[in-house]
Amino acid sequence: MVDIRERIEEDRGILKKIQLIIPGYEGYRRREDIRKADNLLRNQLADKLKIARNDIEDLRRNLVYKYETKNLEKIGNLLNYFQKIDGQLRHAEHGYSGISPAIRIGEDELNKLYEFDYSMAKIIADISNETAKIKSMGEEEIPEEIEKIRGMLEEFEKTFKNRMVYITGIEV
Amino acid sequence: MLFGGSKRTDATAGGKEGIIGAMTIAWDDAYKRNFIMWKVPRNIRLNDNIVVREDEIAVFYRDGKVLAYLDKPDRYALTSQNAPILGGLIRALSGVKQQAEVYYIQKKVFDGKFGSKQPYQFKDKEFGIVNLRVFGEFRYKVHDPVNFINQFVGTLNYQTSEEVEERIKEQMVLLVYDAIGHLKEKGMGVTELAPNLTNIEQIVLEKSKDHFGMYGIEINKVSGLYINLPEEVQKAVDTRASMQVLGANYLQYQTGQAMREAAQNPSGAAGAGVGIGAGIGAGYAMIGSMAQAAQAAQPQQPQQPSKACVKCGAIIPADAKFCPSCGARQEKIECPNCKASLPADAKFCSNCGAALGSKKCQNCNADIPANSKFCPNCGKSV
Repeated sequence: MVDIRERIEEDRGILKKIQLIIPGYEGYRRREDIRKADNLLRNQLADKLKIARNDIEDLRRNLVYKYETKNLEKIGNLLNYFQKIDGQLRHAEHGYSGISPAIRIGEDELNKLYEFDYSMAKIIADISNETAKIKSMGEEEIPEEIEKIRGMLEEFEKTFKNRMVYITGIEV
Repeated sequence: MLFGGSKRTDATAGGKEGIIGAMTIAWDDAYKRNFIMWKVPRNIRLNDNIVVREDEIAVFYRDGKVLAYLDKPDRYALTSQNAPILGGLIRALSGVKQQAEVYYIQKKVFDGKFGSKQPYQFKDKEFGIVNLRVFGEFRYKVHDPVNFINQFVGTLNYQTSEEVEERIKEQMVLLVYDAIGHLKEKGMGVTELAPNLTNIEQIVLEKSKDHFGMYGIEINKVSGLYINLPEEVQKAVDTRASMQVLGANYLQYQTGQAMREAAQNPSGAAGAGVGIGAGIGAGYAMIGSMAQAAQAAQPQQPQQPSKACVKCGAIIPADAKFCPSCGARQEKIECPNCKASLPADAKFCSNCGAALGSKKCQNCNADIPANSKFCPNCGKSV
């Protein structure tokens, strides 16, 4: 799988290359590139989660056109949850710190942040596997499966929310 | 400016021009309120920089073609042939100038409200034809910028959220009616609509994809859906619910009601001749009077002149000014809509469902039914 950081490094244009040789600017340039890579990665993860969400939307579509209302409310709530996590993923903190911060976020921390976000892809793959199953389920099995997916999303949200704490190593 | 950089053409574009006339363009927050999109009002020059924020999408058109959707927050340098020397040369030789445009669109979610202008006639098994009105709120966002620009800007020249919402509102009402209609076909009665409001919201949300996708709009959420039952139906529903709770039939329920009224209001018609604390006696008296009323309905017995109560239909003396059963004033008014004869204190027409009495919407000044929560004309809450 592509490491977006390497790709961004390879694709540095002339302006960025000049920035890399300006004293005091190099570190800024490198950190900025890792943040951009992390941002691209998170957007990809959110896109993958959206594909999983589409499975649930397909299920809703099937039920709506049959006017089977029994599980619609639960499905609607699950879709809202997907949307919430989508927003959290896309607009998560990039890892900036101030001029003289209490906890510094340097290049190493940013690399850890990228790797942490990368590891979240596994959980999203698991969620996708579950959402793929739900489409073929009967009306009676759906509530249980919804609860299962919801649980996985909750776990994902909990882990993802604490990313900066894990990265900076200040978890108590 | 060295190379003929002209003055800024729009106050909302941030930044200053460089020596080749290029500039950094951003959509200033101060100009975003209520605007769903903004067309940069100048032809894009070579190396104009576009700043796209988290909540925006920019679409770059060159010679009428979409070249890029700039939907990730960043600063983008744009290319066109409108450079100071090259552009001038091409223009001098060919007489044409390359058209390069940028449209900004807000990615954020907008809120709108909808309300039915005309009632929906729901044919219920128990209550017959019931006139329903629906109100609610929706959240929408631009889902497909190109469709949105083509449909709303290119075709209708809409730019404000208000104009866009105007297009959505009526369709939303139709979708709710459609959902109700299908649920009715599946056997749902009017009394079951209220507990199914969230399901109806989900149906509308799903179906909205087919209706709004072609406009480049996604309905994100439907909330606060409210289906307004005529007062008579609502009252009947409440009565039935009370009866179910008490495990009583209609006669028992009415007797109980009359006893309570008599105990609370000894000077009223129901309590006439009965003192405070004589509730049980009053109950028996009411049962007696109901039995008499039932007998009065039998034609073979000679009767004193009687009539039916204008409100509850009970048989009462012809000269009674108030109904001893429900207390309704025995006067009638005419429905301004269908001309049906109605009790003087009716708030809705039992024939056509029209609200009797009206008030003014504070927003658009339209006449609206007295009990409306939303204006059927502009959708604002009243």
